[in-house]
Amino acid sequence: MLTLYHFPSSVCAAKVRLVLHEKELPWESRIIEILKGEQFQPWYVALNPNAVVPTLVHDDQAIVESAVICEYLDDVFADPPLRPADLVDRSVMRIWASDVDTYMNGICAGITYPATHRHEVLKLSPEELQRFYDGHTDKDKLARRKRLIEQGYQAPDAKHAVLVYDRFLTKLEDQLAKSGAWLTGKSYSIADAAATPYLVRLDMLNYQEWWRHFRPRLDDWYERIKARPSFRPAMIDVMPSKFMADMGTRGSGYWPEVREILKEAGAW
Amino acid sequence: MLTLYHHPASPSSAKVRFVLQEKEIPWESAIVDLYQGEQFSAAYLAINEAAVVPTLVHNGRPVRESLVICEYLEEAFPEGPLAPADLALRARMRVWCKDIETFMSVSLAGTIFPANDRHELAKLAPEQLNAYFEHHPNKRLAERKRAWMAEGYASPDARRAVLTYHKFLQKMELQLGRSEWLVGDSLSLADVETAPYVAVLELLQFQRWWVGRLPHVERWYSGIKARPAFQRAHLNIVPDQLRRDMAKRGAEIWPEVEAIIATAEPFNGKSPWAMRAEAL
Repeated sequence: MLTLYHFPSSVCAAKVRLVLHEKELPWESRIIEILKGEQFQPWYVALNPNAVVPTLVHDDQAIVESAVICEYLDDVFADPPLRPADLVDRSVMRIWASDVDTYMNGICAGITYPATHRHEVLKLSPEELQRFYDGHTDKDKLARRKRLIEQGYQAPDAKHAVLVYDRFLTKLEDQLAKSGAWLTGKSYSIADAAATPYLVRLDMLNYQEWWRHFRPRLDDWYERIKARPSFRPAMIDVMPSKFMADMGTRGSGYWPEVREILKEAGAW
Repeated sequence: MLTLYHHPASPSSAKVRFVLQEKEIPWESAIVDLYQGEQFSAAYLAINEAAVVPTLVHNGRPVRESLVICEYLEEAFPEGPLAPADLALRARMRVWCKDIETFMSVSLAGTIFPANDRHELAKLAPEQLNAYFEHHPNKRLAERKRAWMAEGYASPDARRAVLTYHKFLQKMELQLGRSEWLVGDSLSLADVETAPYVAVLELLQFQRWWVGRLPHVERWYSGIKARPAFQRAHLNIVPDQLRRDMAKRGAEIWPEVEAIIATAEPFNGKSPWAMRAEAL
């Protein structure tokens, strides 16, 4: 029995959902309301001491860390394999999967909070808001969140995030120029799954121009990703439709501001 | 044919050497002189654009990142396994290794650099030193290194690194009270990844950090040191001059480190697995 504790718009959780669907594994969904602080409940912290999503529970064993969960699923359910058979290609896949976690996860919040999550958090009552803030154990993260919530894209963290995101898109385009159809190796792998949620995020925010304008290989890759049977159930069906609609409408309004940040930095 | 590009005093190089020695894989050694900035040479950048050691070249193809190299060796040379057969345990091993990569490699730099590396860099001529910082591909780390050179442990950043290191040793203590090795009852990549982080403290004569204070860490590290593979991979490979220099520099500066440790909040001891939530 597989149970995934996750949240629709968490990029780390999305990556695991993609792997589950690529392998056509049946799994049970348990949403953790991370914008309401449910991840800080003691029963969840007992499963996931870092209080983050996702957590996979497989036959009573809790597996944490999205990159580790993906490899675990590939270890246990080997077919179809999502790691390159060539071991050097596999090492490149691991570097991609790990770099995405290390460098892009926080950055993603930096472009999403100003456009959307911020409006969700601002809907909370003063007590709920305080509870949300109090739940954060990482004080630096909390300070960053507060700036993003209060100042939107004009927060220095948000501008930084936009530029890092832009470099990431360039890196993806360059990698596809080297590797061909998929990011690492000859077939779809965990590296492709790891990168997908970052494109979906831009897509949902209606920031498509960001990659379509300059990056033909990435555009082509994303079209092929969207055509895979895993895409819809893992990335779209799980999102509440109102959330999707809000994200699109709000995002459209912010794209000119984002493009302006890119222009100011000479990246557009 | 395996060639390892590495440095004798680099903990991430030591991890890979430890795996090579445990598995008794023959390999050729190519030392990259980090203190002379050899990692920024065009030849090295061609195999490792991040300009860090180690790089393993296997039949002409480079493999980068110490943890990824260790997993590569585990899969390419499965004999003498260093990953648990139990897959859930293997996942735990990967979480531990990942925590070390994410939190400890940064803290290691901030803990070691003020004690040792800054004295090595201080030997460079001013224009060589400038070149070192200019070639550094990681601008933020270069800035931090400049601060560590100028201020040593007075830099808030170095202080934070020492406190994170301290927390990490206590987490090890907690975990090693539950299992003989860091993950399960045999040596795994989790131990391989961790051992050099303790060994480098010993080179600096910082043993008082755990000896007589953290009995499980003490027991575990004695077990590590007793392994011939670790002796060949780490203990015997450090040049005598560097060993003497590190011991002398470390002994002199230990009181500063101890003073920082004394300011640490009492360890809450909840979980060895909450590094992300609790790293400073």
